[in-house]
Amino acid sequence: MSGGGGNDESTAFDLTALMDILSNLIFFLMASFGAAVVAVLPASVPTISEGGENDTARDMDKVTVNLRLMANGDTKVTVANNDMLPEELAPYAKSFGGVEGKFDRKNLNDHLWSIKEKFRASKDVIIVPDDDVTYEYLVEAMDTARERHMVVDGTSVYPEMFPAVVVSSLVK
Amino acid sequence: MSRRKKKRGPFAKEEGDTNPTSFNLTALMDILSNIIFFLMASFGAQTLELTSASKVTLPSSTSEMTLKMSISVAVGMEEMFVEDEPILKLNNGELTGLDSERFLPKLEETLKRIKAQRLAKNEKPKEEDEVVLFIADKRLRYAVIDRVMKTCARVGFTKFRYAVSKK
Repeated sequence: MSGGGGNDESTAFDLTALMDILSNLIFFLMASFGAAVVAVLPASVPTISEGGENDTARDMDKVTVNLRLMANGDTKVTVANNDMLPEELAPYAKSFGGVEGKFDRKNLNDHLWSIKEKFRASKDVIIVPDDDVTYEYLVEAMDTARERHMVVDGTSVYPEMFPAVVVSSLVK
Repeated sequence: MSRRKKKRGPFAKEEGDTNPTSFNLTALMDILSNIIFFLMASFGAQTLELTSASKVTLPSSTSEMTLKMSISVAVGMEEMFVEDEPILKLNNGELTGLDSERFLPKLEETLKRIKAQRLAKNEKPKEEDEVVLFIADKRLRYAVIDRVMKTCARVGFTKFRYAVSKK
């Protein structure tokens, strides 16, 4: 068996070439990493259920929010629950005027948060945009409905509001 | 005569040694390997096949959800693609030459074919096979997006993941 015959010197590999390759790879990956920062937003479209029932909330701690988006920036919020009377839900309906063609993000977010605080189990929002609403505007509305920015003890927190988005259109 | 032995450092050359000085690069190699593994893992999760959608300007969002690959439908201002396959032309973000009340027949046909191919490959359909990765230009009107999404829904794709760029 070859054991080195008492030779204490360790074999030295020339790693320079490998280092070159790895360094090149790192630069390439870092460049690509910075350019491809892509996330996703989940959404769905309405479907017809087999039993003919709708998915509107039924529990008393849950509502389905309907958010209507107009191209001029106006927004309208209504809430729905199959087991609650329209009079009980009416106080949560509210309209917001657009500001220079953009929607009033802050007030809309505040109002949706007040609904979330009242109906803690709510997660669903149905967004109904006008035909002329841009995709960018739709994504912005989804962001506004999804989470709220709060500062607790000096730290930013983002409590979830209505992450389950259904994008629909008016029946013509 | 006593021969004085010169004190040598670990990388010092032997007398008459023609080999270059060698550094111990093992620790550096470990660090580089770790960085590469991290970057490659992130790269795989984040890279979006934007070859077809290179002209698409994604809307920005605060979403932190990571990208998962699924059937991609890319709608730019000039062209629409399904899995890098051109489907139809748009005129500055508007669908032209189509009945305004109808769905998009070419899109429907292509999605049906892709769905059938994927089902044939997988014994059990995966969640990714039922979700559309929707890559659309931020300037598109909802009327166009609605028609694309409704056509996808007709084929059975009712769930979407909107591709957005992180803010």
